[in-house]
Amino acid sequence: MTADEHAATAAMLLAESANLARQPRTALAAGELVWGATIHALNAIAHRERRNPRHLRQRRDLENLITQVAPDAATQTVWMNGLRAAQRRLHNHFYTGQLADADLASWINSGIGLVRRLLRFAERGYL
Amino acid sequence: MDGQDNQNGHNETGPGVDLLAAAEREIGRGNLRKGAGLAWQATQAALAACAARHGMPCANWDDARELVIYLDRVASAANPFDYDAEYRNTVALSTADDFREHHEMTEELIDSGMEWEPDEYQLFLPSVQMLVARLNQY
Repeated sequence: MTADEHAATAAMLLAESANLARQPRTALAAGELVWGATIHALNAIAHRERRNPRHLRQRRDLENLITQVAPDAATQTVWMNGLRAAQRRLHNHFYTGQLADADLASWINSGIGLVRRLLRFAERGYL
Repeated sequence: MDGQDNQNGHNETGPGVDLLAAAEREIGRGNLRKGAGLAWQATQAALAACAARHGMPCANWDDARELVIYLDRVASAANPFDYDAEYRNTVALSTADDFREHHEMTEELIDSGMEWEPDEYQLFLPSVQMLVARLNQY
């Protein structure tokens, strides 16, 4: 995938997640899509920044990317926190279902905010 | 120990700051589980003091979540161009809770793929330091 394709995929996943998040029955899947969107948005940044490896899947690779491209320490910290929260609260929930509906909705909102932020950075190359 | 310089060179005081300094020392010595526990205790101290100032409860995880969501809402409204403001404290609390989990080594963590490598304790500690500093300012 190219940077544009990763960004488009992330945007598509966000739109789908917003639909799925409206119903508690499907919110579990919405969270997983937000996690996927996070990965695609970071991959879009990796391509734009010509970082290797370009197709990132491992958490350490993603953390390294954030460390390299975040414009300042505060942004690096909040993106790193957001990545980890998306993995632990959304991705893990997809398999364990441990979150209450309201809690899941809140984490989905945080995840969507982070992905929008990452996509803006992927598109413009600055904040 | 309040009043000592932290790793950022700032002279900061407030609930949890001394515990954070201890956490940083223990993690630096390789006592990762102990350091992780101290980082979580520091967060709890700062959360409790902040909640008290805002007249909010802070007896459990749900109360802590409500508090940071409230703080993010206020910060986001006050700084509409700070796009990270809407979730900054929320996701930072999640990381602080990761420290709790790494201290307790709960079943949820084991073999979850979420375990930290030793250097990650130091990598993530500034997140808790920033959270505690913000909580002490609100």
